[in-house]
Amino acid sequence: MTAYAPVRLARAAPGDGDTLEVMAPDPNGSPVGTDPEPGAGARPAAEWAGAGAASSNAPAGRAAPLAPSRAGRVAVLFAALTVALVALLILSVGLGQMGITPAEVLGSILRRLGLVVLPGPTHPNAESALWAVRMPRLLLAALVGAALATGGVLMQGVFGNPLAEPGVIGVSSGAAVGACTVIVLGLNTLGTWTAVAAAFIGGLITTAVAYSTARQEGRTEVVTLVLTGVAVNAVAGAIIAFLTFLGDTSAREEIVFWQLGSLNGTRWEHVLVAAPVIVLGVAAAGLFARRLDLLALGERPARHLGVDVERLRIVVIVGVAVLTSAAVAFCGVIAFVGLVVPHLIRMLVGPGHAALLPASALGGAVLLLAADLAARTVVPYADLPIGMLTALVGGPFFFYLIRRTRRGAGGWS
Amino acid sequence: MSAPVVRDPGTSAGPAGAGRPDVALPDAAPAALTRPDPGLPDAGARAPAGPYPWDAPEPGAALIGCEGLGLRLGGRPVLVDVDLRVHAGEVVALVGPNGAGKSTLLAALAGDLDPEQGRVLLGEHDLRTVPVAERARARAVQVQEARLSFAFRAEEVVRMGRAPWRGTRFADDDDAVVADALRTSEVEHLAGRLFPTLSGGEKARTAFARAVGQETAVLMLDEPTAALDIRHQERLLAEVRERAVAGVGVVVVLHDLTLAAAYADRIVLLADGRVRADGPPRVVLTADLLTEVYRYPIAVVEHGDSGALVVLPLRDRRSPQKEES
Repeated sequence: MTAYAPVRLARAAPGDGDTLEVMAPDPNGSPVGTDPEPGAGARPAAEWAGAGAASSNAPAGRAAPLAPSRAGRVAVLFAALTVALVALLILSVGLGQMGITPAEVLGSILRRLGLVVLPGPTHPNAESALWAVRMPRLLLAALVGAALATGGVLMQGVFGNPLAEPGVIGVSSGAAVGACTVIVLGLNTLGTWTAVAAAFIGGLITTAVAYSTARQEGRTEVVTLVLTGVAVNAVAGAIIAFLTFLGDTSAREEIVFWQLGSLNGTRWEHVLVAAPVIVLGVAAAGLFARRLDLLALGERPARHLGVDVERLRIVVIVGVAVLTSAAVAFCGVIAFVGLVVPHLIRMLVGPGHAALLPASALGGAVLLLAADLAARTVVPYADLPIGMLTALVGGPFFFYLIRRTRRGAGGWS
Repeated sequence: MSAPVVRDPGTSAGPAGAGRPDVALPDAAPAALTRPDPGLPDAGARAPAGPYPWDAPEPGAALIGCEGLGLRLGGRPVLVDVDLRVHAGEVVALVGPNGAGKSTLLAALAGDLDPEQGRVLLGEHDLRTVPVAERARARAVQVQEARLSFAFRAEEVVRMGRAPWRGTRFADDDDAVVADALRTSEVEHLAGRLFPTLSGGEKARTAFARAVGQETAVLMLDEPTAALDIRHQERLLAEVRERAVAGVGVVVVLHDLTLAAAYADRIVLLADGRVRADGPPRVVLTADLLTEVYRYPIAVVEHGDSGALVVLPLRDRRSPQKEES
């Protein structure tokens, strides 16, 4: 195999006879020449080259500007998000119709870990409310938030448009079609996994359709994107309506639940199915961070930089479908999380995916935990559908982003 | 102004003249090229010991090219039977009227479009057999329109050009190479700016910095000077020339024929998807040929002091001016 090495002008060479090696184990390997006399010989038109930039030797290892401040911000953001996540979990698990203080919550958790340090909850039913009802619900909220936000980042990266989002484009509806089909037909071949698998198939089909129709030359115009969402959502809505028509009363009730989006009635077995899928999906997404960065240049330039674009988009589309369907299968359509969270994170730490992906996952978990807390506590003795809440906030936010995108010549940071 | 390019007239005659730098390619595929030193007679004086390929130089090894390339877009033949070779150390300008197939040819050479007839070569290999990641270490491409989906900073965009070397020891030099690329493209002061907020010319210079930062043996540039002012046009092409002197092979699409005459070793004139002429500027840029191909009266004159070729569209002053009547 041919060995490649960088071609370098002497002014940028590290010098010191530090012979560089080529990567491939080629016996004819070609080191990069470092000329002992930098700048010797033909320097065309050097006399009028003005700034003198061409004749100065680059100090090797010159530090790039900007890096420290952004790195600091990233660290602060991660710390803040982690603290917020833990604090929200402990606070939220104690709030509700039955109040349990954070100290009691901590005591109960430590007790489960075998440490009897703090007193547990005093109310007789508190222990079961805590562990059978609230814990699985909150954990699922955090997982689903992370999945939706990560799905949003992936989708925006591969569509080349910061307004892409599973709910907006209709992937969530597509996944809901799969889940509703399972409900109406009473399928149970894979146990608890049946709904997830069906949602995955529905989500995958809609992602592929939207992706293949909405993109042009590696990016998606906002108008195309929104209209694609309208079309996909219309078709998915029609199929769900048909399924509602077919189903019996109990199936209809369940379908209404999907459409509203709710975490009510979450059981541990749901968490146990969702957790591995979502954790794996979020972790795998991180492997593609650098390639997604390069994809921001467009498909051709990304390929010129060595990205296997075809493979990347297949992997990312499957990833979006997995994350979205895992979320939708258990709590229905919760829109706009994948839009709002990545947008806010980009404003704080920039669009680099290496920080954006994990920060969005954390941020999505925090946001959905907060939304769920609001859903449970805003109206006493009522459990509002969480999808309704996120849409109430996310819809106007989406509109604002569209306006801003149209107005500004600048970026969608 | 004197002629900006120091060039031996003899060198433009062949694909790569005798004065071309010592360049070297194992299997004639792009690999390390050394910094040339025109002052030295040959590579024998080079520091590294051992049998490096350039010790027995095959001057001007073919880096990229195509044979009998034919391509249709939307049913219309865009390229017909195109043969082209770009050698180490030469600057080849692709010129021709709108729709002649310049960008399509560049895209085919870059591997963006698969040929229907013929083949594209990287070194002696059929391009399709070379993995994408290896192509990225062999050639850098600057596309016509620099766009970005997300608001990265200019410095981050240039750094993306280092991606092919990630995981190799050459990645240690990323900071120095990026700084050098920013400086030579005169975008240092824009390093911290968000790319989408830059002007067209600043974007183009940043994209050029990314391409040269990739440090490949082949540079492919699609109208890199289109959005630039005179200073930056000249600076950019002078940088391109300097890279060519170092052994890089350059293909550049240009519309400005005077620029092409000043900086290219060879000019390939495309018309209707075919190579109409291929040779040194003085051979290709003749008034008759250009007038015919561009369907507009064109004169080619020699500038007195510098001897530089100037391509001049002949404007009929009488017809368009109505104010005088």
